[in-house]
Order: sequence, then C-alpha cells, then structure tokens
Amino acid sequence: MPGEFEYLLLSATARLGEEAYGAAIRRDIEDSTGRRCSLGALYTTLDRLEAKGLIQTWMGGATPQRGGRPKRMVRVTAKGLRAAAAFYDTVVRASRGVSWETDRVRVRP
Amino acid sequence: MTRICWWLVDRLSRALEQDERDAVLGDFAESGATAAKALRDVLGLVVRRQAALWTHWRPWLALLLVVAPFGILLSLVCRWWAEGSATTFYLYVNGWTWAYLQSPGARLDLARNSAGVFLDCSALICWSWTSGFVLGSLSRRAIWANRALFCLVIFGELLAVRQHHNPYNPGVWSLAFYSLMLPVLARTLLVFLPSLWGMHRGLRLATPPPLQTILWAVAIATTTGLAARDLEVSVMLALWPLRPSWGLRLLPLAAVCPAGFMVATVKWRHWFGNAAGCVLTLGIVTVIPILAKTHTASVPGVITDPSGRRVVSATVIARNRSTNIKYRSSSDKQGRYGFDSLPLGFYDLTVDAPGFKKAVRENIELIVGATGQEDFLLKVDEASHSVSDRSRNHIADQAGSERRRNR
Repeated sequence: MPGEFEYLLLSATARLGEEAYGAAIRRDIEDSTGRRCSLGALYTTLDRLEAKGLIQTWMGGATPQRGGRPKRMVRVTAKGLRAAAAFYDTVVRASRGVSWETDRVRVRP
Repeated sequence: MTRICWWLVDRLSRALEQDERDAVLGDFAESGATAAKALRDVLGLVVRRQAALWTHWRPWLALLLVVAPFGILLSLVCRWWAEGSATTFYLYVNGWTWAYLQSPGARLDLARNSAGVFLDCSALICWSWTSGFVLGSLSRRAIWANRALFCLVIFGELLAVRQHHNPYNPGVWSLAFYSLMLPVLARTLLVFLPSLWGMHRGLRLATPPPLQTILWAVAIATTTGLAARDLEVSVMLALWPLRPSWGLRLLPLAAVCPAGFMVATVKWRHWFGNAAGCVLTLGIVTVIPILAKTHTASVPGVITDPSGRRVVSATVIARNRSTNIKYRSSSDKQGRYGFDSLPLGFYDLTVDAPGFKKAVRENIELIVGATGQEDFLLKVDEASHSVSDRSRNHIADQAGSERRRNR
C-alpha cells in the first residue's frame, strides 16, 4: 500500500491525466493540500513509485516555455490505480465513527 | 546575486542524470521560479540523490580503499617531499650563483638535483592521477561526495597536522614561501589537480583500455623506481631528528597500489586471458625494486688490524655529505661490513673499533650501481692501550691493598 505522499502523487497524476508531468503534479499537490511540495521529494517519490510499478514515466517533447527542455511525463498504471483505491478505502474505513468524520456528515446540507 | 544563484543551480544540476536535469531545469523555466527557490529545490534533490547512492557498496569501497588511505598517504608524502626539497630549492633559487655552472662537480650536482625533483614530481603526479582514476571508476555518480572528501583530506591534513621543520637551515624556514606556500602549492599542483583529472577520466572510462593501462603501469613503475631513493631521503629529512623505520621510509611506495587496481580491472580476456594479466601485474610489481636498486650504490669492505687479522664488531658510519644523513653498519666475524643500497652522492666513511685509531675516508663518490670495495687497515691506538694498561695496574694495586687490609 502506498504512503501518504505517494497517495497524493498518485491522485494528482490520475486527476491530470494526459497532462501529468513534474511541474504540473507539483502545482496540483500544492493547490490541493495547501502545503509546499519539494522538488526533491517529488522526483525521488516518482522514482520509488515507478520501481514499485505503480506509475510509468517517460521523457516528453520539448516546449519553448520550458526553454526547449523536455517534460517527465507520468501515467498511473493499473496496479497504481488499485493501490490508490485500496489506500482510499482503508482511510475511509479507518475514519468511520471518528468525531471529525461524524461532525462532517452532520454539517453536510 | 541572482546570476550567481542560477550559476550554482546549473553547476549543482550536473550531479543529476541528464534526463532528470533537463526535466528539472524545464520545470523551473515553466514555473518562473526565482533563483533562490530554484537553488533550494535543486540542492534538496541533489542531496537526496547523492544520499540514495550511498545505499550501494561501491561508494563505500571507494571511500575506504581510496579516499581515506590514499588521500592521507598522498598528502603526507607531499608534505615530506616539500619539507625535504625546500633546502634544495633554497640553495638553487635564493642562493643562486653562476659558480653552480662553473665546475663539473657542481654542474653534476645541479643536474642530479633537478632530475631528482623532476622524478619526485612525476611520481607524485602519476600516483595522484591513478588514485583519482580509481576513485572515479569506483564511485561513479557518488563521485561528488567522494571528491569533496578527498580534497578535504588532502588539504585538511595541512591544517590538522602541525608543521615541524627540522632545526637545520633556519634561514629556509624563516621564509613564508618554503614554510607555508610550498606545501600548499605542491599539494595543489602535484596531488589535487592530477587527481581531479584522474577522477574525470575514471568517470568516463569505468574499465581502462588494456594498451594504455600497460603503458601507464610501466610509466608509474619506472618513475616510482627512480624516485624511490629521493623520496626516502625526503622522508628522513622531513622527520629529522627522528630515525624513521624502513617501513615508514618506504611508505611513499605504497601510493603505487591504485595502479595495481587499474591493471587488475582491465578486461584482459579480450587480449590474452586473466592469468596473463596477473603475471603482468606481478612483473610490474617486481620491476619497481629492481629499478629502485639501480638508482643506488653499495659499499662493501673488510676491516683488518696491522697483523692482518679481521676486526670484529667495528662500527662503520657512512655520512652523506649533502644531506648529512648517517648510515650505520658493523663488521661481522670475518671483519666484513657492507652498505647495500646507499643513495648516490659523496660520502665520508668512518670506522671505529675499541683499541684502534678512528679511520676516516672522505669524499667517496658513489655512482649508479657502484660496488666499490672500501677496505680499512686500522692502526693500534697506543694511547688507549697505555691508558687501559695503567687502569688495569691501578685496579690490580687497589685489589692487592684491599686483600692486605683484610688479613
């Protein structure tokens, strides 16, 4: 099962779809969590997830706004989707009946 | 400041693999990152990547087998060489006179000293390059950390170990150039820069090409063999007045070991098999002492008394006139003594035996491979005989009076 940051990365990659690459994933994680995502953590985690077979990466084409440098494109594999879903289910199950979960259900319109 | 930060980002990013470097620099360009933020990000990534490399055994092997032992050894040898050569440099640079070129003897001395300095420098450069090469080929991408540690060891030794200059030639050590700048300069030119060059080559060529390796190993063996005696004298001069053991005096020769590693890692199979490679390595290792031997001379001799009998346990001292280093030997039961491998130069031989006058033979020149016999015929020391006779009589008299008193 992936760790917390690995799950965030898998979620951002899945959400971005065909547009998932280093800078975009980083932006997405920072926007969704409101926390800073370090470049070191991002690229080393990408390597780790690829080694586990949860994602697949390849070098994309170069673009002018990137100074002619290519992107590292990312795609979640089927195994990665299953792992992310399992993580989510676990978090949901583990959160049942706890105050922050029940309070949240009560205030929901 | 911004330009410096971007320059640092560019330099640091070179520690990353090419694809990752491109992706990271592209991300910075796309997101419009500031120089400070880019520097912090790339530094974090490089640190993580370098740390991950140390989970493998190769960088540790390079650290333990090259950085620590050869970094310390090369810096020590460099220190000893700078200390030992300072007097020669002072003599010819600060005390230059055209008289050095006028007499054949002085010219010969100048030529020998110049050749000695050239050989010592060549040997140090060769050893440093080879150590760097092995470090580069073993460390691979972890070379950044190992290179920094290697440099730290080389220059750190200069600060960590207190300089102690020999008490002779205080005029030499009063000059900042010889006491401070020469050790730093020697370290930079003879160890630091050649080792950086070697690391660069080692990174590009993980396994050295056979022909170049053979030529390089032969070059190292030759320079090491020829410089061995000069370096030994440098060690003795630098550690004066201590009398370093043989092991310590020959310690600089250990710096040749990385060349053995280079030879061993060549893919000999493409040439003529691994066994032949091993034989070649052994051959090179054997050549070193032979070459070292040809750069020395030996002095055998026999010591006899006026009646032709051999003198046993006479002390023979050979003093090198230029370095003032003394070598000792003593005669055996057949009155034979011998110095096996004296550095070339001019010597004074002194023979001292109880009951005989001290015999001195001055200004004996030793040339390459010389084995000139230096026999001594000792004269009886009448004074010591009469003194010892008188002492014996005095003791006999005392013993006699003692006996008379007891009766």
